[in-house]
Amino acid sequence: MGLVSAIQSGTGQRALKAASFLIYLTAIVLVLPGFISWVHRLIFIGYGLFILWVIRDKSANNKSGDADPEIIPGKNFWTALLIFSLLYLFLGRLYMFIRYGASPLGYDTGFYWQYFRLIIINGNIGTAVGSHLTYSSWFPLGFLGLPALTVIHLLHVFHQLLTAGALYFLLRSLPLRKYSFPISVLGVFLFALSINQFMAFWWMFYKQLLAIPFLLLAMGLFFRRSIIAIPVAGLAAAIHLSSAIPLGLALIIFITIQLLICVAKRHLPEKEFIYLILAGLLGSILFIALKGTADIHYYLTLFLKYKGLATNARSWEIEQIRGLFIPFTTFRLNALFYLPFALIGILQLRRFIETRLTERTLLIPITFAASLILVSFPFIHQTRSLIFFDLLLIILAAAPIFHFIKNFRRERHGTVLLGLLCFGFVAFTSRVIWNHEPQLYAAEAAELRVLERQGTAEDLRKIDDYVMVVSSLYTPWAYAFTGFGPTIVPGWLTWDKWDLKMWEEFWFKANNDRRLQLLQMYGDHVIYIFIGEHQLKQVNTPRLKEFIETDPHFTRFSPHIWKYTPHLQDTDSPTNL
Amino acid sequence: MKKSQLKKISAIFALILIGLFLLFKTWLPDRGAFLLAIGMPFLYFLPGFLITKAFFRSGLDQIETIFLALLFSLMLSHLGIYIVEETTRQITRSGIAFTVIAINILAALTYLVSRKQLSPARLLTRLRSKLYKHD
Repeated sequence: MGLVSAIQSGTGQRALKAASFLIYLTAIVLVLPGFISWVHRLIFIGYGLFILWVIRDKSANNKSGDADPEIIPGKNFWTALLIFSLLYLFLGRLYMFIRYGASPLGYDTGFYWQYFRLIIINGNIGTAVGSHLTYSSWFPLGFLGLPALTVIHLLHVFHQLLTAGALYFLLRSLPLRKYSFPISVLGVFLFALSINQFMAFWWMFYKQLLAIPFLLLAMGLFFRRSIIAIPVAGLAAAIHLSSAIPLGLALIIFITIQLLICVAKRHLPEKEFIYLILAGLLGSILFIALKGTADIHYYLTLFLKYKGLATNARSWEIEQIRGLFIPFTTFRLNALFYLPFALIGILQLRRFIETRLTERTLLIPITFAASLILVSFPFIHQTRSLIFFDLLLIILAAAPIFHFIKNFRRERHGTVLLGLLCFGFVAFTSRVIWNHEPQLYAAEAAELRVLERQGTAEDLRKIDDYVMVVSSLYTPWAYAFTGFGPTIVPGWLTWDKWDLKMWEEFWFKANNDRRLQLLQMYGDHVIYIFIGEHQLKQVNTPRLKEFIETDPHFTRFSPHIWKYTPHLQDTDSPTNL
Repeated sequence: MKKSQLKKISAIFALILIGLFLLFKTWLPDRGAFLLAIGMPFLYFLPGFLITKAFFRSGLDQIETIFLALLFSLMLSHLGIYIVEETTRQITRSGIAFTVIAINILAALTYLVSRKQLSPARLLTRLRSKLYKHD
C-alpha cells in the first residue's frame, strides 16, 4: 500500500491528527523562553490546549452533520472593529509624539535626519546616501519647507497605516470562503495590537517599514494572479532587500519543489509554474534596474565576510549584524497571545484556507518555513527578519481566531469571556505602549539644541568646539540635534581619533591621567560631553562618571552635558539651563 | 454614481483637505500649507486610484480600493521622482510639479485605455453620434 492511500484511509487520517497534535504540543512547550517559571508555563500550555479544544470541537460537530446554527457577529460589528483597529493603530503610533515631543522614537531617527538634510540641500540623493528609492518621497514635502523630523515621522506613521491596508488586502486575496471579510478585519486588529510591530515602529526602521506594505501587496496581487505583483515585488526589494529575502527564498524553494515533481512525474511544467519563474526573473531584473548591483554586492560581501552568521562578527559588532532589534525570546513573549492560533493556522492550513498543493497559497507555508529558519538561527539580520515573521504569524492566526470566536459564541457566556479576552489583549498592548520610554527625552534634546550653532556672536558653542558622546546609543541624536557639527562618537564619524582600546581605557580604567592624555589628543578644543539619562541610570562606567564630576577640567554645563576645557585657567563658571 | 453619494464623497474629500491644510499650517505659512494640501491627492491618491480602477474592474471592496489607491500612488511617486532625479541629477520644485502632473496624466490615460475609452473604434462611434446629433 502506498503512502498516499495510507494517508487517505481512516487510520492514516487519525495518525496525521495525532502527529499534528504532538507537534502543536511540543511547539507550545518549546515556544516559551527558558527563564519562564513552571507555573506560567503550565498556564500557557493550558491556554494553548483550550484554544485547540474550542476550535477542534466545532470540526467534530461538522462531521456528525448536526452542526449548530452559526452565530457570527454581523457586518456592522466587523466594520466597527476595523475602524477601532485603524484608530488604535493611528493613535498608538501618535501617542509617543504627544507625550514625549518631536523625537520620541529610536536610534535611527538621527541618521535619517542627516540624510534628509543632505538630500534637500543638494537637491539630489547622491552616492553618499544609499537606497535611492526610499528617500525620493521626501522631496515634495521637504521642498515646501516642512521640517525634517516632521516629514520623516509623518511618512513613518503613514507607512504603518498602509501596512494595515496591505495586510487587509492580502487576507482578502486568500481563498477564505465566505469569512474573508471578518478574517481580514481580525488580521488588521492583530496588527494594530502587535507589540512587535509597535517595537519595529519605535526602533525607526524606516526603510524596512516602507518595504513591508509593498511586499504584502505583492503577495496579495500574486494570489489574485495579477501581473502588477512583479513590479511591486521589485520595488519592495529595491527599497529594502533583506526584507524581501524570505519571500525570495520561498519562491526559490517553491520552484525547486515544482521542478522536482515535474522530473519525477515526467511531465512538462504547468502554466502556473512558468508564470512563477517569469515573475521571479522579471522581479529580479526590475530590482537590478532600480538599484544597480550595489545592494546585491553589499549583502554578498556581508554574507561572505561572516559566512552568513552574525556570531562570526567581532563581539561589539554582533548586535549590529543581527539587526539591532529585540531578541527572539522577547519577540515570542510579545506574541504569546496569538502564537497558539498561528500554530494551529499552520498545522491545519488546509482546513482554514481552501488550497491544493499546486496552488499559489502554498507560498504562505513555504514563506513561513523560510522565515522560521531565518529567525531561529543567528543569521545576518536575524532580528530584522522577525518583523516580517510577525506578520506571517498574524496572517496565519487570523482564520483560527475567527473560528475560535465563532465556536465560542455558541457557548453560554461565551461573548462575555470573548470580550474579556479581547479587553485583556488591548489593555496589555496599551500598557506596553504607555510604559515605553523614548531613547532621548525632550529635555535632553533641548540641552543638545543649545549647542547648535546659528552663526551669530551669541552662539554658546564656538566654531572649533567639539561635542562628544561616550555611548554609541546617543550617536545620531547628538550629531543631529547639535546641528551636524564636529562630533566625537565611538566608532563612527571622522572626528573620532581613538581606537577601541583607547575607548575602553576612557570608559573603564582607573587611571585619570590617561583619560586626560586621551582628551589632549583633540588639542586645544573645548569638548561638550553628553551623558544621557539611560546611561546615567545604568552606570557601567562609574569611574568615568566620577572623573567627569570631580576633575577640575570639567564643569557641568547642563543636567546631561559637561564642558571639558583643556586649560584650567580657561574654565568657565557653570551655566544653569 | 448617485447624486447623494457624490455629495457625500465630496464632503468627505473637502473635510480631508481642510484637515490637511490645518495640519500643515502648524509648520508652514498659509500659502505653503494650501499648496501642499491641494497637492496631496494628486501625489498620494488620484494616480493610484485610477490604476486600481484600471486593473481591478471588480472584486474589491471600498477599503481595499482606498488602500490600493494609496499604495499605488506612493509607488508611482517614488518611482517617478526617482527617475527624474536620476536623469537630471538635480531635482527642483518645478521638476517635482512636472513629475506629479506626468504621473497623473499617465494614470488617467491607463484608466481610459483600460475602459476602452481611447480605442479608435470607440472614438469614431462617439464622433459619429455627435455629428448625427448636430445634423
